Amino acid sequence: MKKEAKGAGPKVLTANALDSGLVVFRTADGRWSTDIAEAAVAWTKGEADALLALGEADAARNLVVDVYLVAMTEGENGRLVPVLLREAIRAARRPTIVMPGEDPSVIAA
Amino acid sequence: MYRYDEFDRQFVAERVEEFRDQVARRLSGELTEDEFRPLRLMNGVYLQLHAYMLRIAIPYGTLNGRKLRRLAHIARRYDRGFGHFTTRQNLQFNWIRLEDVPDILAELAEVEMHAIQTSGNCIRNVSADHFAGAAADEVADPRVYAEILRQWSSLHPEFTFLPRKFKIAVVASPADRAAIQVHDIGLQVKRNEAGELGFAVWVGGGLGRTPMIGRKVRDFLPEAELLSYCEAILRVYNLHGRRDNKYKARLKILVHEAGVDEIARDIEAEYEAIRARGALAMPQEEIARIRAYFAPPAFAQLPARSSVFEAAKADSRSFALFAERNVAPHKVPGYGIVTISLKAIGAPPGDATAEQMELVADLAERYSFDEVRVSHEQNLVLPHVRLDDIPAVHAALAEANLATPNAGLVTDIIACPGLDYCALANARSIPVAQRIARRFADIERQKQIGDLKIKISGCINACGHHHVGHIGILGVDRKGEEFYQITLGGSGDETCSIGEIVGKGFSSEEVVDAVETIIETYLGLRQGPEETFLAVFRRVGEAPFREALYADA
Repeated sequence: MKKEAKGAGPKVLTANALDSGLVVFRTADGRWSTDIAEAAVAWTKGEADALLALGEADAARNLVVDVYLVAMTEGENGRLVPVLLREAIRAARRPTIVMPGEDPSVIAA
Repeated sequence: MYRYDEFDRQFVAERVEEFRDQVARRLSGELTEDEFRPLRLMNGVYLQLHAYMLRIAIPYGTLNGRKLRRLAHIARRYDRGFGHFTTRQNLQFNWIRLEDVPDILAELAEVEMHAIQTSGNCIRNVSADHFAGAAADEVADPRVYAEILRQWSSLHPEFTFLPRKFKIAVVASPADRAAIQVHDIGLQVKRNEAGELGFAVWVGGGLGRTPMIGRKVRDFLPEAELLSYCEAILRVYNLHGRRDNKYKARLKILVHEAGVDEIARDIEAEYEAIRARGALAMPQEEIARIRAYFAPPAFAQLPARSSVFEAAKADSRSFALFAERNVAPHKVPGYGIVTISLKAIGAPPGDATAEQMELVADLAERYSFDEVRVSHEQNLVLPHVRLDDIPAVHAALAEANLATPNAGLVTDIIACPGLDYCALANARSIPVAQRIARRFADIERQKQIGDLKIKISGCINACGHHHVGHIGILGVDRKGEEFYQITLGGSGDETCSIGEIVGKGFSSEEVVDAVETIIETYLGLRQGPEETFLAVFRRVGEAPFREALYADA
């Protein structure tokens, strides 16, 4: 289940696009991108609060639904990745398994 | 099967247009999400982990070729080419766009399908024995009553704002193939000593975070009284069910907290009042009218033994395996009930591609009087296949990876979508199912183990029915890691029992080994190959399994 990010550490803002339902992340220039790599990162509580407020305003404008902050951490290649597996699965925009009809090579062994 | 009349068609069409308008007003912002959410839920639209999810109602799990082909078309056109059959006999699509839902519903309406009341605090899809109309041990077709209940419960004005969801299941045999004792109302159609039809009635069963077995409140309710009595149960629930706490709002909690005697008294009192007004008594001609929709097909007069079937078993090992596990006895000589396993080794349990759905539709039309069923164990069933035709059916299924001969075996696993798809989940369930299936892929080993139902849920909501698994697996979140709790000895059949937690949980790396240890322990304890896992557990209890799992700890 969803766990809103609290405490210190970098955070990004996520939501679902209202029309498509797809997972999106708020970028620094105010767009909602399906690519977490384009997400604006909040490094302090103040930045996180501001980012959340912007996201909630977008929800009020009916662009997105279910806006919340995602805790990030430094991954293996130095990039930021979600702390929680749930958020990593959401950010990957697909399940961790091969879907029916897919080539098994889509999933690394 | 039931066919819409003019009223039904008009109602569903109007409902689609009403929802189309609601979606438009949501997209334009005229409706807020808080206003829209209950409306979309009542039309089966969830917001899930990756996208919107649409849950389409398959009344009592019954489809025909035309409906199944339409589901395949929707999978292809609006989704990612596949769907997921659920533990309530419905179908879910995982990649739906809200803006497409009205068109999807319109396409469903053309084939007399909808997604109404598959979510929300209302009476959900009434489920029934997936062998209905075919099983040798049934006294009547339970779907007749499931259809009556469906009509009564659809948009019932009094029960559109229940404290919580409400689930009803119906069987018509002593064997319970629909898990009726873990439903809010469970009904078993039976005959009294005079040969009259009626129902044994259980109330207050349920799974989720507080699993409870239903309590029998009536041993024999006359057939004509079905709606009067169910209305009474719903009224008592609607009035007294808790609305202060979502997790204590189901009928099972009310029965548990008030006591079954008090609830039964309330039900009987309300029932008397309803009966006195006479509005819900079902005239025999009305029951007969509904029963006519489920009239048996024109079965041929065939010998009980099919030389074609027997020869195919002798000639082909794979067919012999399939015949042994996936063909159940039919009440009509010369026919068999074919289970199509959606549990191919390593595949996501319960999923079917559009191509597979279309193949099953073809086979249903050609070989099964155009009938297909969805079982709550996430498989499909062709209920009326001539034994002579089963080899050809098997050959066709095999080409589409639909002929896995594992019905009821260890690899016939029920798994909820879990953290791969579901916003509520705490852990993944599908990969665990796949890894267990791969570990036990050897069919000879599966046969050696025998009947064994493994059920996996990715969270405490228990959509995978793990509480009634012979081996149940519950995924939890332990400090950010996926962790799995194992229960043993659950059963959803007429000997219903809730599984007992065996001990400390297991990591993702450990859980498949733990399942194997449990199974090896069973094999070592059984008195012979005919003593099933469940029978052994009930004989010896948890201790030997706990010892095997934790002895080194």
